[in-house]
Amino acid sequence: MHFRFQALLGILLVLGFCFSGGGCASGQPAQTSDAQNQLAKAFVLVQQADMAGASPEQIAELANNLNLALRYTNESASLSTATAAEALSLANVAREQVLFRQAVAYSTAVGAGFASALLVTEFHRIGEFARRLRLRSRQLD
Amino acid sequence: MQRKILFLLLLFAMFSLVYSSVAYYALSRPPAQQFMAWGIFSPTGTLSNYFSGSEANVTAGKVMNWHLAITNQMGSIQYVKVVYRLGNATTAGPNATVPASSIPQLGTSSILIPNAQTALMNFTWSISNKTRGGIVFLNMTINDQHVSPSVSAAGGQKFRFFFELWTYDVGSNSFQYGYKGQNSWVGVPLQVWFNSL
Repeated sequence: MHFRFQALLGILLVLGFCFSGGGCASGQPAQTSDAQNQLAKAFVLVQQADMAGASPEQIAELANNLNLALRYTNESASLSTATAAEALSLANVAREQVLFRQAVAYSTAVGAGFASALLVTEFHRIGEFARRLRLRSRQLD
Repeated sequence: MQRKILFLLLLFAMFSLVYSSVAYYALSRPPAQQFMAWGIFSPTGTLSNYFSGSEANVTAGKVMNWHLAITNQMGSIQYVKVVYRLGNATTAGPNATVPASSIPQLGTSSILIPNAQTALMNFTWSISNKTRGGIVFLNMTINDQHVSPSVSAAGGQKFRFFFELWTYDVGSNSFQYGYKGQNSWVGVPLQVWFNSL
């Protein structure tokens, strides 16, 4: 009877210790592995942002955050998640910026193409127009 | 009139093509060879003189402060892991294609390195104690971690550290040995010899 009570007390103590996170052997690696997975996910998003054309300064800042998370691997899950969210929005912004820059560049190219074609075909009118302007200014004098 | 419009359209197409090519060139990233480079630096910042003397002899308790400098020229941020192992004169070391998987690793250090930047990693180590006799086994402290490698050396002579560079591969969601070259993975191992006195 006395032994049963002791065994029950022992089991309760061990369970309590595990749930409080105070050193249950299987808890720590699971936590670390989760943090490492979060870190890897965050890295993938940061790399996507980098490849999408985000500025090197912003990428360096995200890298600093993740390096900080790496240093404290056990407590890093939340920091990695925050950095991942930031990287995701940064990647979207970078992609939009690249798309906008491309749209501006190619629109300018097509516009300049049309202006150049017009200039070549209507070049003779420019001389005529200049002559008329000169004539008018003389008449005004 | 129709001929004039046709001529205008032709010129428009030609000029647009030329200017679009210029825009494409201006928007494209310049091609560059992707690589990662690294080295082990002594406390004085040189790639030599690791033991503050001419000989590679290390006595128990002597603390070595080395730095690993890793340069990323891969075109994007990289997640890098450095694996260190201890070998002896007969150990098959890592090469350009395979790591030294036959020897257990003593530890790892990881870091994220933005493109075109160099990161520094500390590698502080010392020999805590060693077995006496012909075949010497070491107990070591590396970056505040106590390790007891299974590798031994006759008379404590010709131990060597192997350093392997691993990079995170997004495709396989795991670290791969070396860095991703143009056609294959390129391993860039480093090693430093020392004797335990």
